[in-house]
Amino acid sequence: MKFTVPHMGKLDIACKAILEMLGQEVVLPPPPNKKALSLGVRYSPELVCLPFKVNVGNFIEALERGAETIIMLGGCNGPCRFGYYGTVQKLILESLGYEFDMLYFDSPNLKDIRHKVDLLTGGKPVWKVLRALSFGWKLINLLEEIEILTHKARPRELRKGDTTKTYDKAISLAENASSPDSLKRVRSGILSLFDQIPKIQDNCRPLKVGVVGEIYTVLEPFVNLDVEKHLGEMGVEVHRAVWVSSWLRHSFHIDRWDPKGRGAATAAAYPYLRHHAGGESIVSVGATVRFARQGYDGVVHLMPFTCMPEVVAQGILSKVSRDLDIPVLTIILDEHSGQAGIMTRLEAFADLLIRRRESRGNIYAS
Amino acid sequence: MPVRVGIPRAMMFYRYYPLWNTFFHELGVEVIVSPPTSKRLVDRGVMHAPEDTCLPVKVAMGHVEWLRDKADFIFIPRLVHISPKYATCPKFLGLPDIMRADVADLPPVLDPTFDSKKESFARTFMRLGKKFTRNSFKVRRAYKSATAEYNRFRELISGGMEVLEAMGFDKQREAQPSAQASILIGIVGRPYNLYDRYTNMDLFRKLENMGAQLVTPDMLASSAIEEALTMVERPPYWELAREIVGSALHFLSGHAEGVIHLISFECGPDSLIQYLLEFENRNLRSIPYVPLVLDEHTGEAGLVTRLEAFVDMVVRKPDNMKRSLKIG
Repeated sequence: MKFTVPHMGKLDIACKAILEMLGQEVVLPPPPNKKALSLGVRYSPELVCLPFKVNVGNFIEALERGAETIIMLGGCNGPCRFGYYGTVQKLILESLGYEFDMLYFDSPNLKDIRHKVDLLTGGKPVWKVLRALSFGWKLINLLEEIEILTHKARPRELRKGDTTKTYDKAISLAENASSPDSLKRVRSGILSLFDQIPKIQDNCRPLKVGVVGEIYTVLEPFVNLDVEKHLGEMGVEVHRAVWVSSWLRHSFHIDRWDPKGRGAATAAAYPYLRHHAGGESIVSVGATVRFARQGYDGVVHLMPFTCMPEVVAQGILSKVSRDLDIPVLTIILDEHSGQAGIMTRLEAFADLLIRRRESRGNIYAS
Repeated sequence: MPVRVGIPRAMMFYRYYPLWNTFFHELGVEVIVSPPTSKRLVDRGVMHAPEDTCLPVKVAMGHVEWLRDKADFIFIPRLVHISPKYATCPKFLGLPDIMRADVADLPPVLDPTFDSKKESFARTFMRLGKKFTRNSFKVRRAYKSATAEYNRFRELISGGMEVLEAMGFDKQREAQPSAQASILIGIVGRPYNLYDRYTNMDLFRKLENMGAQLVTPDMLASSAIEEALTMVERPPYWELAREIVGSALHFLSGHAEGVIHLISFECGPDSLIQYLLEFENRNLRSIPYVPLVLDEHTGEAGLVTRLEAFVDMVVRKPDNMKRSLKIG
């Protein structure tokens, strides 16, 4: 049976590694691209959110490549639309004539879940499954470390584009790490790659901008039109508030006592948002409050058009921005978003942040 | 002078007003309800609201602003789980917070969290009532008569009485529609889209004047809705979406001659269930189904054209399909 998973940032690399360690065949769709997007837009409901449409495009491309079983991640009981994606996507793909299975993991029936787990693990013994999962988890963390290194290096690079080249190299190194033992070696190789990027003087203090928002649009550079890359190349140090690892930890309720987990964001958001509103809305609000307290220069808030949880956050962020005196730029993304428009807005935003620093007299203070 | 609590005439007001009003009234609290939605209220709401929210939230903002300097408290409940298994939309979860953030200088907002997964409504109302009186006996009695009033209201509307009339407001529809009813049309949608006569441009009266008799989800027994939901492999998990899908499928499977689905622009759940209903209706090959998307820019002329076309289509349906109707 050939499995496929939807794209979300670099999560597919980890999923593929886990499944292949369990001896399964995995067919990944090509990374999100124009063709996938236009296929998705053509067959999806008009007013559904962008991640849904990209998913549909991905699935079509994966099925064309011979995938037989789609693993639908998530599928909880709301309140966001994400949990209902799979149901409607299945109808869409079936009416296009594809034959496939879709695995959901929200069934309350334990026997059913057991059956699906068996299907995925191919009946491998528990220790092998655990080993594969732990490898996948380490891989996710390594991939995120690469992102963090990239965010730090980009505003400091001497030649524009060096960091992006290094990033691509590092990702493919991580992708090719085949065993848990080789991960350590790969990691030190990646660290030295980033060390080799020629940098401008050490004491530069680039603008610091937090990135919050709906998880898919934050993680997927094709969908957010490379916001993080553009910011970095404008000399802005980007700090993300949402990660796959924290999303997974929250989904499995193991971040309850983690000081960096969702609890901290929830507490910080409390004066503004007293109850979670689905998705990452409470993180968007809470992380913005925390960024403001930590003296960041600004926050970029990303969301797909019609995203329900982030609309709630959007309404509240305007007040957070006024109260805590931190500029927030909300960028709403859909299939019509254009690179040039986003660039203009980012440039204007960066300009505004520089002026603010200048007026406070501490730009590039050593 | 008694304490004044403002209830915005928006969102779930159209379902729970009798419950809320009786509860506050029994506690000796004066209830102020904002006036019916008007252009002015919508404009005010649009001004305050985040640009990308749905029309009902924008409308609610207009109502909340109207109540701003007329009440001591504004009642904006946070509906998390109306029944333990099913969710509400994220905007319900953040509603009081959006209002506080976007409408300046609000009086204190009463935002009890109704989460039947965590505690019963009775307990939530007990805690709410304690804000006005220390006498817990009085609160319990108030809750009891509130639920009695609510059940009476549900009975009235399931018998076909107009919602606002059953709530004790003035009668809105003319007693006699100008045309004789000849076709039966099911209208599904969220209560705040169905019963806000301004935002849906008085759809009910327009259809009645075209000779339609109307049925709404409120007139169906919940067992009929649940039964129809079994037609779908994985029914939605949102409370209101289940109601819409269930009643639409009930109507589509031979209990009406046409189905209109009222959707507000940018409604998240409805964007998916619209596809679901279109899909199921293709399989059923039964009767016309039309989704009508409303927003603050919807023009009356365009709406009338679409309704007329729809009614024509229903009327011209071949006779052999009409005969298979299961209407009593």
